[in-house]
Amino acid sequence: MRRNLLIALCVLLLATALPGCGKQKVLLESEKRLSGMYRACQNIVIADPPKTTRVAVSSFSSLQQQTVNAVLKRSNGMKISGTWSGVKLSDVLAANGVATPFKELKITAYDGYVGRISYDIAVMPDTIVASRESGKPLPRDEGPVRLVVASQDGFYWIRMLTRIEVLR
Amino acid sequence: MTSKTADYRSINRWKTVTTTKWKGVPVVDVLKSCGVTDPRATLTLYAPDGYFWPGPSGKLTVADMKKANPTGLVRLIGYEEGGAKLSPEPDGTGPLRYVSPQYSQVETNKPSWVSNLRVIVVGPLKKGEKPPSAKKVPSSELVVFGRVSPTYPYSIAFPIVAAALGLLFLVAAIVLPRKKKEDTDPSKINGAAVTLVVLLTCFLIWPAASARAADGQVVFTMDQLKAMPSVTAHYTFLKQLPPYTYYESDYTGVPLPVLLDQKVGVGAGATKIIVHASDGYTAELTVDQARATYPGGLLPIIAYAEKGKPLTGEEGSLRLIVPQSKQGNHDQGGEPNTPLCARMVRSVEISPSGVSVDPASVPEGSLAVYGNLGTPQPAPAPAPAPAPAPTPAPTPSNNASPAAQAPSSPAAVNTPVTSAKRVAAIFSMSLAGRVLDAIACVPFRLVTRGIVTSFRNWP
Repeated sequence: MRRNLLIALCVLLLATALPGCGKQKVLLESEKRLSGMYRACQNIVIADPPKTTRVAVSSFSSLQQQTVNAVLKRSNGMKISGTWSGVKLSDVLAANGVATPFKELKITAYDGYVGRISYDIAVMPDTIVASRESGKPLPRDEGPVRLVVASQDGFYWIRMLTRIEVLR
Repeated sequence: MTSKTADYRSINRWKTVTTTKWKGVPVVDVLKSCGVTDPRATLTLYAPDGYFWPGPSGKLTVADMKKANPTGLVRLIGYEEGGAKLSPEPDGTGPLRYVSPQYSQVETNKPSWVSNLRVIVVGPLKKGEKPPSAKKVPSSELVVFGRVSPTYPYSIAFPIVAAALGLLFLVAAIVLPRKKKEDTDPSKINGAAVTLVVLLTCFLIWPAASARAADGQVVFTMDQLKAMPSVTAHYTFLKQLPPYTYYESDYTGVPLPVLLDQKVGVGAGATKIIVHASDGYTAELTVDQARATYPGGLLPIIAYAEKGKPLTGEEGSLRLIVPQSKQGNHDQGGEPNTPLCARMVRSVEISPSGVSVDPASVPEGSLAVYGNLGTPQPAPAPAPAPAPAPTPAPTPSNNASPAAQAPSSPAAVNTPVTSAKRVAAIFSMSLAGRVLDAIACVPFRLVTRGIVTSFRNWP
């Protein structure tokens, strides 16, 4: 009798717990995908035909740090003000032997998003490759670094950077 | 819900123009399946990265979702782009993406395409009501939250009583055996087992049981419709918008009161009659409007013939005709009636209804009547005077009079059809159905969760 009751309660508990398990799994899967992206974005490819260099994001720490106060204006009109810090995009390019001037940059994100940035905007001192937001590392889903283009709207602020192509 | 495939053109803020083939479900269908029908309800779509559309200064309503652009495209929840399934973030824009067509050739519409769509908030929300965070919704789900009419619009008393009874049993099962010494007797009913069965049964089937028993569905074929008492009369039509087109014609069809009262019966709680067309168009009548006799002694009909010839083309094989409540053209101060005269009619819903039928699933020429059905009233005696009878004889027909005019016709017996689809729909609403659904690992499920409030609570 007692044993039956115990079994019954166990079954009931299991039945309530089971639906929860499914969701957990899906969340874990997306976490796995996220870490995949995070690992992949640790290196950025800088293509300056005919030369192609692979740069580790960690190497940016040796460059001069720049902090920018800016307002991120997203495409839906939402405004988010904050402080981002990182290294100037022009410094990153110079450190990897990209000669100036060029016409524009074609920047590709991990999800396939592509943004084109003209030379004038790329060399502005407040155009940075940011690795920190308000002193803390970026949210994980933005990747290890993101572009912060203080002078421009959000569609220039590319996350999950994977490739910078120089067009002349 | 049926998927649509079409080419969608987009312009983004970089002025890049792209055209891609999208496959998806119209947003309006998804909303409808969740019980969102009020055209005034506002919508906000959220992605896990915090993006939402429309932005703080924009507004999007359910009515906008119904609107097609000049080339006939509607807003979609897309799941396939260029033939490839979308993958979730961070490397994809899926598994679902909100896709909106251009309503003008120059519209910058790309910012509205919400990638990784997870949450649709149906507003306005009450103060302090927080929608679920899109970050916490797994990629296999789409949450529709807010002023959503409940999936189970019926009394919650049943499950509460069942749960209370179950608990009582459980307590009894724990307490009673201690007092009795002979619980080793195998012939004794196992209290715990009974409790378990009762509890689980209540728990698993209550949503299904609460789907009202009165909800039914009857499908009439064209032959059955033609065998019903019919009316042939001269109807006048006035459009609502300039240039206020006015036209007249002779139509033959089944009077709505006959169909509703004598063939299927209208349930006690019914308030509205909603006529659905195969293209999604709906015409809403009050029950009184559907039963009324209009000026000139005209009755609203489901027409199947014009001037003796079957309806064809864009009129479909069935058309709802509601006479003008004040006859005459625009200059004579007539009442516009064409908005109610739905073409391509496939189903008649007696609302409120616990079942829903996709009008496109009803075969051409047939008519499904479903919802809050009651008991059919017998046809009035052969010589009726006041009641909506098969012999209204107003502005009589001149050149068309089908044989079915004879009153007190034998009228083919239509027994309610319990379609397998409907049973499946009710079952999938129950917990047992959901558990099975989860086990079957359906790759993508549409779910509603969170606060479900009936539209009765609308301000």
